[in-house]
Amino acid sequence: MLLAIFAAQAWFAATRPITAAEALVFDRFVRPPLGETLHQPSGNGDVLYTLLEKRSIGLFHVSEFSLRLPALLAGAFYLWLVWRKGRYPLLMLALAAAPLASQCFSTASGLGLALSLAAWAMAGAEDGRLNRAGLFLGLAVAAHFAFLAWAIALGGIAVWRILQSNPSRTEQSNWRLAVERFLIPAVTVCFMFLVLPLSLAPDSPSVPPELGAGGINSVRTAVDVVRQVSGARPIRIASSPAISPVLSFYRARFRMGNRQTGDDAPDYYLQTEAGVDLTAKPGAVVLHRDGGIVLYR
Amino acid sequence: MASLWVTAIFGAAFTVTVATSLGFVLLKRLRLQFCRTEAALLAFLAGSACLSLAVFFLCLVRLAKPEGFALLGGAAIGFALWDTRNQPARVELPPLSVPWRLLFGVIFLAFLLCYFVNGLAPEVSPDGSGYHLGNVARYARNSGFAWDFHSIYASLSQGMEMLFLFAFTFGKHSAAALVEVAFQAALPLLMVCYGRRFGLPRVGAFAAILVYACPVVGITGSSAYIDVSVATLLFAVFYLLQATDSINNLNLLILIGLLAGFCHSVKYTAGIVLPFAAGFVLWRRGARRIPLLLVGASILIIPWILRDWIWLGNPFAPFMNHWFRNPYWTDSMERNYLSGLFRYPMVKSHLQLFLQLTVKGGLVPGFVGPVFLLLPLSLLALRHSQGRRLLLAGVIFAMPAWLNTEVRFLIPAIPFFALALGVALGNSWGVLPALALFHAVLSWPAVMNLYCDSNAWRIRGFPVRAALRLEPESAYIAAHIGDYDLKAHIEQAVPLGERIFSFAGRPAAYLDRDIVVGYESSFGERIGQLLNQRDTREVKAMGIRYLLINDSDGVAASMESDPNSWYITRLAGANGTNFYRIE
Repeated sequence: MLLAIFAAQAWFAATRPITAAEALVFDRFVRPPLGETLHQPSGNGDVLYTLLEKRSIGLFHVSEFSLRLPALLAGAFYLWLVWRKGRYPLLMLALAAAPLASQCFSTASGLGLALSLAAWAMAGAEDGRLNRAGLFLGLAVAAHFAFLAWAIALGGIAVWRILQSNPSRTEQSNWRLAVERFLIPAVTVCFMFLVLPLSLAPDSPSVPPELGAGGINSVRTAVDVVRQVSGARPIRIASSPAISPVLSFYRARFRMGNRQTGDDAPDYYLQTEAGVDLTAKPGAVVLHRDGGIVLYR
Repeated sequence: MASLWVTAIFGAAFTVTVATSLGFVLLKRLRLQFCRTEAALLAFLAGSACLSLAVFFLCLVRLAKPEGFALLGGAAIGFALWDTRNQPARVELPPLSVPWRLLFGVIFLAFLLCYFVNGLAPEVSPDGSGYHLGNVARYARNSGFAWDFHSIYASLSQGMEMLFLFAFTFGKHSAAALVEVAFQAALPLLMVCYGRRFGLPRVGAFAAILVYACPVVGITGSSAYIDVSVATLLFAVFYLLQATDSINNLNLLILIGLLAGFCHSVKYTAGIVLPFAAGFVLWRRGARRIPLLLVGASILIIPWILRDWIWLGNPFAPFMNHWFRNPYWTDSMERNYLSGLFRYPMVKSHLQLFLQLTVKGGLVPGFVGPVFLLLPLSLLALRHSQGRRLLLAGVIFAMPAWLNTEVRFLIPAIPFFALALGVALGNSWGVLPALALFHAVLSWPAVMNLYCDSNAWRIRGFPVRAALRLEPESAYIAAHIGDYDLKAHIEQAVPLGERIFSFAGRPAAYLDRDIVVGYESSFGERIGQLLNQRDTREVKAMGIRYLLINDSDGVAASMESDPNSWYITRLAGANGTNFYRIE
């Protein structure tokens, strides 16, 4: 059953089209060199995940699957823990299948990784492996900063368990154990990953409007059209802000190194229909129009 | 003639050797026994105090010349060799574990090489090329103190500048900067010794890496500044105070006093160590031991106080002018000057301030490194007696940073906070080496360029060609100091002995004519007022015939557009500064 769940996650990871959020993270924090990722118009909350994404696309080239591979492996890691700790088959099944609802193990975001690491952290705390538990909890926050509140709650529960688990020790030494073996490693690990991205995140982040699933499919079709009409000829494509990250992803996905993006003397325009008045451009030749996206020359 | 880089290394090495020799003689005379590494480091620091005092007296009698220094140095080295010939071998401190020795050794050597190359390159730091080496160059020209030149920066105590002068005489500007590099290298080594002596070897090595790789320590310590030497001396005083618990020799208090006095003679703000040391001795040894401490301190403090009292009428010049009125600087000028140092004009919030101090460094200027954002965790060190002492020392030595908001004023407190952080995190497996390595990586010049503000004051690379003078020195200096382009014009136009007025500070270390700066003396302020009234005739009557005016100065536009009405002639201009002669 666990294998079936994992297979379902892998299938979703491989077949679902890229989402606008995934494309934006790819465009800002995975595609550029490491130094540039620190100076983007919005902060990166999934630092550890994007680092793993970078590694993944380095090994397997850019694709929807390679972007989601770290999440999928985190899912496998999670299922392994469920298998190891599962005493009651029904509860085990529920725990294993629950993440399918959010598809966090088949989406290129740090949530799935954070969930998996936090689960391992709690298991470590339960087993008395406090250093490992602290390390995993810190990594969970580094994988998905929005998980911080949950990590604090889980950390509190873990500390409570540590204080309860050694009644033979004094309360003071139990506290010391919890702080030195568990909390300090957790804080240090997430600090090391997050200090620069969070310190350098802009005060007022700028995020482009998100493209819907129809728009993303249309961009992909438009990219196919451009590939057909331009061949290997170097061209420039101008795009609106909402489209730009998705276009950037497909440009890398289809190895279109000769297609430059930018507004400087473009050969093609790929824009949202709402943002362009084609009647005011009498010479424009529309090559593709669908899902609110228009490609013209 | 030998290359400049060879003479620079010789000048610095000779200074360090002479200081260490004098230190060993002093330690022997005081019958103080230290372990091997700490003995060498403490000898260097104590000997530096002695050498500084000796150079001070040579400056008084105008014998601050190469021959005088060579004689003094040769005699000191010769006597030390003879005096310590039958010394028994010293014992070693408890060892550092092999992994930590490797980690510390690799990081220390990498950064030492980086700092050494930067120190060896021509000196281009703002204050280093301004007043620190400006004073030194003036003393070198005069073979001693220049009594007819008045500036706040000339009246400050200059214990470190005396060592710079010794090195400068043989190796010019870079030699002085390399002396600071030596003090900078002594600090982490002393911290490692501290850890080994007091049962915290891993903590000592961790904190030493944090301090040595710290970006602001890197740039300040590889320039002709004095802040890192102050930090080293303060830490040495703290170290010896802790050692009074285990070394039962009253002469140790004299040595502590001597170093505390040297702290004051290097920088006024470091004088805070004297009441700290007195308080510690009072707590641990009783009030009747304090006079020994004060005797040691007075040897280094009194000469500077007397110099200013006799010369300027104010023993604490350029401060306390309200109580010691004098014609060279006024109470109101002092207030204006201090109020300018007291605030962060560009920083808008506390969060921004912390990020500026630790990560960005563009507005403050300089930064200590992101790892220091973890400092609140050092409060966990309050559980240990060592931790409490370290945190108290850190807080006390950070106090001068309230008076001057530049990040480098925090440097003296950094070693104590770093050690306290190490004590707090020391029992967490793997945390100390991980953080030390993380800090070292983030503090490497190429990595810093990725995240800090582009204008943050920091080491930007390895200027090997400039250090070895494969790139002409003048080209390198001109690329970093705009005024340097006017040097040839000034030397050609201004007769020797004549002075130039400027509203802003100038790289006095590279201009062998005295610059009267508007805010640095009452005389300068008077000249500035006359210029604001367009009274150049009166300025000329007061002995100033040449002016250096920045485009940003209030009178600049009028002078440039209508020089005839000002009775001035423009002689040259470069990088937003014009050079005028009053006709």
